Amino acid sequence: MPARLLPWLVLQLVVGSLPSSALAESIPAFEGIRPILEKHCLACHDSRSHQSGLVLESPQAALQGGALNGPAVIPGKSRESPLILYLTGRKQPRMPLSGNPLSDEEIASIAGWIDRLPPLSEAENQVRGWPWLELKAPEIPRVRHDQWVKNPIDAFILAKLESRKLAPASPASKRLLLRRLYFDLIGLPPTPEQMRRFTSDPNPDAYRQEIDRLLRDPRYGERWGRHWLDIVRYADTDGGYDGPLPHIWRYRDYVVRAFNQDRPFDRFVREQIAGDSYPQYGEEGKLGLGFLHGTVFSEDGVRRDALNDIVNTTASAFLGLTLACARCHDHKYDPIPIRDYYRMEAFFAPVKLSTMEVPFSQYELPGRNSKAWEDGKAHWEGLLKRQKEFREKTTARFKERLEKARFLQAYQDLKELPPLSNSPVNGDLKRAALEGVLLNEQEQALYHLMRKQTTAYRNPHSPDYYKPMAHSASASVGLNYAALGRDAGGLPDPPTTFVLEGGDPKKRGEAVQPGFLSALTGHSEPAGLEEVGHDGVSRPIRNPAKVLAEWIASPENLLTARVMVNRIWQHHFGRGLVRTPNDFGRNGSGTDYPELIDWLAARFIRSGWSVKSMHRLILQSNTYRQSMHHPEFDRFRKIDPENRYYWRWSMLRLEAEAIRDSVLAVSGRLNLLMGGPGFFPRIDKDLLEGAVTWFEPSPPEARNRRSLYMYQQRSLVLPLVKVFDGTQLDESCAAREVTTVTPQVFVLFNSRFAHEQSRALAARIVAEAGDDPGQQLEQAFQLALQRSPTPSERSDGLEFLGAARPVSGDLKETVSLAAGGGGSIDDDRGIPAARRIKDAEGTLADLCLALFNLNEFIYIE
Amino acid sequence: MADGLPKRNPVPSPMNGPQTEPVGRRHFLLQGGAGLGGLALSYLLQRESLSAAESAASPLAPNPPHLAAKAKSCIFLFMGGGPGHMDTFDPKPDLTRHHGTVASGGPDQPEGSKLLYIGSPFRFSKRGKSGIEVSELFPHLGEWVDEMSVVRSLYTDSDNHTAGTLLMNLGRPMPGSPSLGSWMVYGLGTENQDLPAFVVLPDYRFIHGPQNWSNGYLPAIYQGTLLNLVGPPIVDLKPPEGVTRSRQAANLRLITKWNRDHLRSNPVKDDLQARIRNYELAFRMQTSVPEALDLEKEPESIRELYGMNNAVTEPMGRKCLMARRMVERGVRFIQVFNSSWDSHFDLTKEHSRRGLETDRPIAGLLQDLKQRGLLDETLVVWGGEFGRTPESGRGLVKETMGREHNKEAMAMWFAGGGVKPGTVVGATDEMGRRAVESRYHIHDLHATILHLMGLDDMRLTYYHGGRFKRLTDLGGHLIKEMIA
Repeated sequence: MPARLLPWLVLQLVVGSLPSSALAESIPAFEGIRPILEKHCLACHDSRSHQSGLVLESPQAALQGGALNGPAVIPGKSRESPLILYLTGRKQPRMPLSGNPLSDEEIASIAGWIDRLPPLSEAENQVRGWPWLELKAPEIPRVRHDQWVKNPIDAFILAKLESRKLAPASPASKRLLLRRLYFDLIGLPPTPEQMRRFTSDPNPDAYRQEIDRLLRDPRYGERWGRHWLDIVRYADTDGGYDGPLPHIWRYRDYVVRAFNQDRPFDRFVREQIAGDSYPQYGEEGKLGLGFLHGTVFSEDGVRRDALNDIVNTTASAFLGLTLACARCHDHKYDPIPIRDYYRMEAFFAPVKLSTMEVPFSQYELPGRNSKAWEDGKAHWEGLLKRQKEFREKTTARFKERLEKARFLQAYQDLKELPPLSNSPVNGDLKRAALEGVLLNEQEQALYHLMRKQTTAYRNPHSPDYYKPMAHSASASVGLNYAALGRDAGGLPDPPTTFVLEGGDPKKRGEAVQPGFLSALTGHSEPAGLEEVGHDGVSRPIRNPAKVLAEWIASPENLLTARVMVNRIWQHHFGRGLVRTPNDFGRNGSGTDYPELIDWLAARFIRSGWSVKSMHRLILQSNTYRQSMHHPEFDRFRKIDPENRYYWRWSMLRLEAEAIRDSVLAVSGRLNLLMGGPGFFPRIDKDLLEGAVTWFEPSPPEARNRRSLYMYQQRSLVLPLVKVFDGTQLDESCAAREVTTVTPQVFVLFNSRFAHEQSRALAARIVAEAGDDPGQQLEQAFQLALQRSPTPSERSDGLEFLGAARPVSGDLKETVSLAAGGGGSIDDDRGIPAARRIKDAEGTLADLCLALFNLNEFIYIE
Repeated sequence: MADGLPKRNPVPSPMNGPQTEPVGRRHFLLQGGAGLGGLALSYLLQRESLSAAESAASPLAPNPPHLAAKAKSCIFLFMGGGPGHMDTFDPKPDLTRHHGTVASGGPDQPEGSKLLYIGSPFRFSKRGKSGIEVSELFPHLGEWVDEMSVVRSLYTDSDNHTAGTLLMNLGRPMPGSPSLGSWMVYGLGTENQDLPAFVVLPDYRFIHGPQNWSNGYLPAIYQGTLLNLVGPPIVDLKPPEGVTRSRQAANLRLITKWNRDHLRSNPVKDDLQARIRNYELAFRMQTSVPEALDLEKEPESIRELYGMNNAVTEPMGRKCLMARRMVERGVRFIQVFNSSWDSHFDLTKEHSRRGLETDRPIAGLLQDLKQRGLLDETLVVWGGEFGRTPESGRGLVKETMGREHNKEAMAMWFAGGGVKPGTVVGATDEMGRRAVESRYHIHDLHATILHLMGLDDMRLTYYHGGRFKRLTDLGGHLIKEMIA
């Protein structure tokens, strides 16, 4: 069967009810206009070139349309058809792109043909092109400069470049390539030693070996796990009261582990949607269900909000669809009716979110590093105990004062004292604190602080963290919805799922059965909810979500693999081939490279859904290895200012976490302990006081762990992470923003963290390079940037360091403090400021601070 | 497409996608031109405002509004906890007459409940030329009713604090969406690049947190900046103790020099240049922000006007005075929090205290804005997250008499730029249980605030999650009666 007929088959599938022959017969003769199209259009829009996905070789293909505008012709409506709009110039750019416009007669013939086409039903109108097409590996395009093609990725990229008269850049230097690999795969810079080894290795295979080595590094899972956590809106607190989800860190660690093990992505999908229904996945499946938690909810409709969130996040994360619109009305842009939204929701109707006992596995922190585990546990238990004691003592004192005050009737202010119980109770104290009687301002503040420190749901220092529990889920046959909370009206939903008009729980419409998106399956039949047991007998499936998981994780699913390979591409190149990775629909960006995505997706499935195999492929392509410089830079930039076609490398800025981790790695303070409950960052006192929670910063050693392990409090994000465009914790974040704003200077140039790490780096340099300023400078550059300073930087640096004057004096002091005090560099209270840093021309620590603030430090070139 | 706005956030598609490389949405300060390379370092360290050309590329650069507007700044006085409308700006004589009788069941009342009506313990009197009635909680503020437009017929969707407060600030009852202030600075930018565009003056008793001034899905630059009332006003605005300004300058010089060297070897310069310039801006902010907040510079008479010399009125007075100083300096949106209006019992005492805390400072603010000619270009908004019920949920013992939450009715007022002064809009039923005449939803309130600031809520959109989103969701109706 000729390949180009395939789209039409899909169209028929989607249309479903309409007999295909009837439609085919009623299409007016195409032959009348075919010569016109051949002359003007097919050079770019035949099935071989199919620019922007549009093929005009057949009526079916024209109806199918391209990636950008969907159907090129609207039957019976030539005036509205994109094809005519482009040919007449009412839509820009006027077609044909190069060459003369069509004559009025030619356009009239095409328009006449369109007007004679029988009108299609609304459903047919909604048929789109890619990605609603069957996934099959396309042919690898042929290119002229095939010596540049290292693997098929390059062929797809080069074909586009050549058709646009562009050419790729030469490879970047070995130094820049290694930095790219490190930041891309593990999110940390290489050490000077690693850099020296690589750049001096003459083996042509060294680059590939580095990739393999880094993919085996457990930091890899931390780096790529973080990307996934963005997508699944991971936070350590709930989305309503912002109180702790004490066990959710196990889901975070599960994600890291899954990436490190290169767990097949289809299994990863199943575990997160219905992991408890796969006995073969064991405890991992239960941990994966942490995915379902993390809903943002209002107190008015906890269960409804949870279901909405689960449907939306599932659709965004795995299918690249924005389903949220269809909660209230038919999707305006994609073929998703409101009914489909609730059919999808019905899969989750019996799901009960719960906290259940799940024993720790040998791969988790308690199993791997029991000492770190016990230490953490002891630390927080001790702290909580001390806080409670302090609170009891202090409130007793306050109550005593209240009690006494009752007998001092004359004193003016006391007239306002609330009437007290026989002996003052907590309620009285609360009112006294709120009203500001008898307690001065500090005491009132203290009172509120103590409450935050010890009230269970406000206090994240819960010993619960250390229990073998997990936030998981199960299908509840008994219809116990308690864990999902009440709906408006206070009643649990009945097991039936209704279409809710306008998303309003009070406006129940039709009852629906679980079913897949009709746009993908071509029909609206309910999904089969039976499974065949070992005994060969089929019986109702306990958890309908398993049926959904199977469907999403199937190689037949049109979107799952395409969406995931696009995400992998995104994190290597800074943006996806589809730039809206959570939206492959009409309102998304579409793509210039549907064939490349399809080729990668097919390969992904064939590799057993191996994410690491995708990395290998992409990283070894010449497309990835290009330099950001290009001999034709100025000319090409006019043709393609955004570098959409990958004719060179586009510089990337590190994300907030990678910046912070890199500072720690370079300073030598990074603590690589993996897993376990998050650490509490040191947050400015004033921010903390205004927050809904309160936490004591973890000890310095723990605070120096990777940012991935920082406690993710929704409403209290570390300023460094926030201002460098940290992820939004409340919903799936497909791509981080990249903004350049002034407060970034505060966190990297002024903060205690930046100054402490600068001093730590200075101490490290003195320890490694000695007293000579020249050696110090060399080592500073090697550590921070993995290169020597240029002659000009060298003279600037030496001048800054005070040239001939040895400057290690006060640093030795710092070093000794660090050595003696066990992390005293991180905790410089008690050291007089004047002694800490002398206000001289400049010190090595200041120079280190400068290095952390360089553009070169935070951009991947 | 938001055609009145610069196309900051077009639909990303191959045809009109972000016209930049991955690294740079154009959310930076300064692009192109000679860049920093041509600037002498002495200039770097001078305190000069950005010229129009320089700030043109800033995401916070002043933006032409959709509509002609009088108000340039907005001060939102948020009365957390929910003041009783029948105790402040919505007199209910019928309620007073029925004081102590069994309430005849509102729509939300459980059947058979025996809640008792509570007349307001506060006397109302006609104030000003307009004769608008104001309760005795606000003796000073009442003098300013002729500048106010009071709306008595607002309603909201939630009667619990967290959801109601989020709804009032974000337009949605759950976290994750951008706040009113974020939308405003996204739409209008700000007049003073040396100060934050959207500042928050907190009340430590307000416990609902930063989600209420969050940028949500808008870029981080639009988030509200929390100003600490004591100590350094912004986190990390200044370096740690012991780092002098001259040492910082020397360090800055080194960074700039090396960044410039790096810039020369780099083919794409925009973001790198923007980042270089930010170091200069940040250095300037270290002095401009404390200067803006330095109340010591205010004469005694002014401090007195705001009640700064009295322990009860000082906290609110300080915030109101800070707000005025920021309005003077071109800050776009200032949110002042007051809290603890949640009087479930002890209504008389608790509301009295809140009145005492806020009456003089707010009256002082209005007077001060007026005498400086700033009131015409400043929109002042007063209100909480919902109103209160006419019945007591806790019996009728004198000391414990109080009111519950009420989402069906609340009163707020506007004053200043573009507001129709001396007007009352809408009405609640005779007991004040429910807004009945000219009912307006929070979306309508937001639409009206945006309108007075020159923004059309329908056109103020941001493309996110597959569609254009807005503060007012599907749009609000203007409260036309409040607009001059």
